[in-house]
Amino acid sequence: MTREEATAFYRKHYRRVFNICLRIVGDSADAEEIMQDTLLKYITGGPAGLSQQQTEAWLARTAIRKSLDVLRARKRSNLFKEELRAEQEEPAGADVSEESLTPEAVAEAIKDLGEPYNIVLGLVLIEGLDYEEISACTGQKQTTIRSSYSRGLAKLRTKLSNKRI
Amino acid sequence: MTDLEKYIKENGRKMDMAEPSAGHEDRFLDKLEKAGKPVASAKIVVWRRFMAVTSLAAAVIIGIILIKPGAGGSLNADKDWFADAGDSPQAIFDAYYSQYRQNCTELAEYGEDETLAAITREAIPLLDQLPDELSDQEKGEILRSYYGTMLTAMNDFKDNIKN
Repeated sequence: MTREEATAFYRKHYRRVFNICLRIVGDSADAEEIMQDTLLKYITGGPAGLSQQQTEAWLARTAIRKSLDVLRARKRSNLFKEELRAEQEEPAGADVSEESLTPEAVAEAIKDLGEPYNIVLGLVLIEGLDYEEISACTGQKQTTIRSSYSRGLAKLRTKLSNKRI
Repeated sequence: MTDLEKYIKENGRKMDMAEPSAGHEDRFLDKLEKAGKPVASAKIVVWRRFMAVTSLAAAVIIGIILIKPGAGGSLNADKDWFADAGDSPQAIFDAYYSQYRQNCTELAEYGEDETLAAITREAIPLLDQLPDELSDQEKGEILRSYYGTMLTAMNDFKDNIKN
């Protein structure tokens, strides 16, 4: 790949990969570093002959793994700790009608959920991973992932319902 | 699937709104340079491709010329055919063409001028095929390599015919 091609490749993919990382690590500087390392890895030695779709999938999976590694390395994350606060199940909230939703509002609400819910919801609903894949990336049981997903979705629904009010 | 889940799945890409801080592209390009695998500029890639193609073409022509019986090792390999041409692509081509015409004249006595012309004829001179983004120095290097090899082979052929 020439320098010009590498620059064009970067411009095409950086925003999406950056947002994938940011949704997981929550820090812009860390997200940028992971994003750039991911794109650099592809440019300097990634798999050859991939279609556009396969390239995007490769970048997403690589960025997700790297981001989760950073989270684990921080050692202060409560990500998937079994001793989640014993919280009462929050009310499910009124079902949110699609007309009231905007990508900005939903993205902000997901971010406000905090770990691990923001990460699990992002991985399932935005990146399209299934519980098995998330389990493989995080080392957590699928039941833990599923539980975090259900709780996260309920919390999200409540947040969005309260915003409407 | 609830409406909310469906909405997020369908609009996930629209949530990629955040941008890295200013200067991120420059930081990336710095990393690229330091990665230890220099990425060639498009110009260098074009230049390398031309060098490879012209080297191959010259080698094929040499092979054809030297297949003639009696062909031995090159007596002309060390000659600098373009000593007076400098880096000027046109001057290099002119030097080549002048030598080529001279060889044709000398080989005409042996009836081999048409043979030489047939093998070395260019539908479009290499000089005219080189891309504009190459500098004169880069063009000169390609032309020296290509036409230098051609002249070496031509003169070897001529020497073999005469002897």
